[in-house]
Amino acid sequence: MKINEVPQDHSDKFKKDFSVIEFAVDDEGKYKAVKSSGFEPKNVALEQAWEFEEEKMEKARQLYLRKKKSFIYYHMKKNMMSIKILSGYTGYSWYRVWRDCSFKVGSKLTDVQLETYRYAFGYKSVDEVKKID
Amino acid sequence: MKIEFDHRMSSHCENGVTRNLLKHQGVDISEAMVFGIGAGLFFAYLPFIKLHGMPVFSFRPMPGHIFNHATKNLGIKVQSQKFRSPVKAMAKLDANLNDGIPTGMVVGVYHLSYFPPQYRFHFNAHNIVGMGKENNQYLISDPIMENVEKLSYEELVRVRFAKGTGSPKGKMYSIQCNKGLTDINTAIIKGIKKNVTQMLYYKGIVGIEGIEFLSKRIRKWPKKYGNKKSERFLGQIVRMQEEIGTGGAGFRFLYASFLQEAAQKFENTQLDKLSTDMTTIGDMWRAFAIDASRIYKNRSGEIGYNDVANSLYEIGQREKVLFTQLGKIVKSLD
Repeated sequence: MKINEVPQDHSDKFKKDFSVIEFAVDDEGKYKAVKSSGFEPKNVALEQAWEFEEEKMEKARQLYLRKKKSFIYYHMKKNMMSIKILSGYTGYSWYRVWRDCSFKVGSKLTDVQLETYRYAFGYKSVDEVKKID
Repeated sequence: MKIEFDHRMSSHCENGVTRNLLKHQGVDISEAMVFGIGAGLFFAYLPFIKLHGMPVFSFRPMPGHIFNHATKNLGIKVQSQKFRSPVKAMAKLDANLNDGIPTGMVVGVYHLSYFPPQYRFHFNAHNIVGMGKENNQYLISDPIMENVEKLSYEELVRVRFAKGTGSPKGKMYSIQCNKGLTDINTAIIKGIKKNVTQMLYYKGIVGIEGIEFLSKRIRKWPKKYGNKKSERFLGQIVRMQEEIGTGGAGFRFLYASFLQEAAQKFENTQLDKLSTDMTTIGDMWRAFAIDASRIYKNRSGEIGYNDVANSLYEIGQREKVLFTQLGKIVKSLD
């Protein structure tokens, strides 16, 4: 790859510009480090990965609205976590996390119990855990 | 306090951290050199490990491999430690910083507050260096960021003890002296040998056999998983290939750069030629990414899964030839 061939494709979806270093050959055949602001196939793949995550989040929201799953489940999906990851952050067993994801159990959790989930999601207050946007 | 530490950007976090830590000890080598000596070129297709529900395609060895091999081949002793207790992990970090030792840490990316949001997935093998503490804020040298960043105590605990696939468990490492440094030429030979081994002689899902295996599997994907899922998988390959921290094509260029430097050190024109070949292979990876992206953008036209698999197989064959030649050259240098 020549220096002038280093891809500089900005992605419209992501607001924050972020450049990475790539190695490319100059005219004399010597390698140099060049900044690149993105590569189009990668941007598309990344956008699609995010769309996929958003789809999962939307599904979780619908499940909450239909009273199938609790807000814990919604926030788990929003934070792209699986039951295994959430059980790691909370220290609860996966069975307990799975149970708290159900609407019946999840909506009865006290603030003290929710505090653990608040920490796991990295939110500032317990109210944020109860809220669904 | 703040340690005088030369923060420099790099294309891959682990190379960058290793280079910066070595530089601090007075061993001044380039990023490509670290990558080559650390035998960083790799391929693995791990269908049984899932990241966000997708199989893992790895263009890098296990986290820690580059650092360990680079330092080992250079004959430098390192200190590395894992923790169960976050309090102890942070106390040890504080002690290190107090002694003026910049300390590398393995962290998860998801809760890293300064990281660009689009890259914040549950990926737990990012490397950073702690280089000081000011007003209860840790100064962090992250080789993929331009400037020195800051993290609070709580944030640092959270990222060091991130959970999920390959949880880092507060791992930290440092280089405290450069005694017994071996000659750089011997280190280069060792690094190349290791790299040849892991590309040519590792079997099954790793190395060149791994590339061939993946190319075989890609042909079956549309039948096995359906179109939507296979498109997502292809996207995942391209992301893994191009993302900072994993780099596929990027790593091929990096290795080509290393071969070029090695050619200068040994004054060997054959290595120079291999460097050019490696550049071609890197370009082929790029072309592969573009073809694959046509499929998942639904603008494929005539390009199908078989064509992508063919070009992947072709890349595998090219790399096989290259590494066989490289193995022979290194034998003659030794």
